[in-house]
Amino acid sequence: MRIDLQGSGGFANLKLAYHADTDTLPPAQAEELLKLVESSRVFDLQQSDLTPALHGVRPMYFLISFRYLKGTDKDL
Amino acid sequence: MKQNKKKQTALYPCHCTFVPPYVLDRLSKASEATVSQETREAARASLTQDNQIRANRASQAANTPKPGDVIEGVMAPPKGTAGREVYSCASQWGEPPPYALMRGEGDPLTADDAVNAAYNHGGAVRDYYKNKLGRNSIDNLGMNQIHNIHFGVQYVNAFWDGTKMTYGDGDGAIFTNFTKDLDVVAHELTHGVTQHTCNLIYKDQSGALNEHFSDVFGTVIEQAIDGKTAHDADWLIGDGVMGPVLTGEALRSMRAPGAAYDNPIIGKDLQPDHISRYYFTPWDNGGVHINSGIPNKVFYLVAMDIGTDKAALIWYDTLQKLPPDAIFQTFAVYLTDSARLLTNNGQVPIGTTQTVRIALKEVGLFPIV
Repeated sequence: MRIDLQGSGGFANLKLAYHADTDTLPPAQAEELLKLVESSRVFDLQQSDLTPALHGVRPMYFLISFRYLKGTDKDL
Repeated sequence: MKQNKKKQTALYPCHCTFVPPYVLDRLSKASEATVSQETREAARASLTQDNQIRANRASQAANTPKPGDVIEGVMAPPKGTAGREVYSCASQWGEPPPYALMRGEGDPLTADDAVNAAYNHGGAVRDYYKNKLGRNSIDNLGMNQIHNIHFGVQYVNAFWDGTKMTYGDGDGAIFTNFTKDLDVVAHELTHGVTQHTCNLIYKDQSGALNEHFSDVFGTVIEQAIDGKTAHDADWLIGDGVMGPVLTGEALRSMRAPGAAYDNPIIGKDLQPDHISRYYFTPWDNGGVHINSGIPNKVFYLVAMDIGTDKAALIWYDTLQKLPPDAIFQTFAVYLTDSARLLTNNGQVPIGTTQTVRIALKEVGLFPIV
């Protein structure tokens, strides 16, 4: 799985990015990361669940992209 | 004393619960790629004596409350009394069991500096709004302030999420604890004030105005507490949370948008100081933290002429009248009208309306309906 995560916002408004490909991580790390992704149930989420309300501040937002070589891709 | 568990669960609709903690941990350390471990350690050691740091940490680690802990003698104030409630997230991300209340309104000092800082700064913000602007807390109805500190692990940010404040501890090298700086607390609480007044849409120009008002009252309140005038204030936002690696930098400059920072770690300040240099970006909800530089410069110029507190009166009046979808041009019209109104009732000096027009023109805005 390829994970691309970018976020910004909040007081500091730092634009932070994290990229990982579980195929290239050490096995233990890859397994941990996949477990975390699975436990987050991110694939059950719909974009509408995450769309920030434009009234009022939302602290930070993330653009997350999950890509499998085969199977389901998910962009949020 | 047990807190209202049901309400606390509803209060924490975390936008990030689907983000794995491991990923967030890596995010918080993203800057390690550009800052050597030696530099970071040297920076941390230079901040204070190493032995004292270790002793404090050992003590705090032993005494750090966990989610769900109830601390003897600490009580939350009644709702609607503008009381302060400071909770420790105990380095948790996402939605946990209720956080431990560390200090409620009227409770004594604690051993945790971050708790005391959030408490004190929250009080300064509350008291300024009440005593100078006649406002009874965030919603003008005595809404209690909720401060959640020690959020996550080395979290390099702070935010208002619609009901409460949340602060990270920083990484100790690039950013320090975000409760440390009064203008952080004042900035974020002012988002609450905006939410309960004109409720500016947090996107594009209205979002930049939302950010702008928070920077305005962040700096206004900091100047008031520090006893500074417009002429001897630094007009910097976030300079107090810069860690040893970025000492001397700031996140924003109201005096000189675009000059707050320039370094390989966090990049270059992109704020424009003129509408002709408006920054178009899909990031940051359309650049709300970036384009706030344009109205920020207006406030600076007006404050330098009539004084910060007098300028704050105009801005507060405007804040209560703007439509949620106001653009900069709308802001210019309303601001000029507020200046004229307050001049008419003697709250600001004669000539202020003209001062506001000149300041707006300086950044390329004209209050034409």
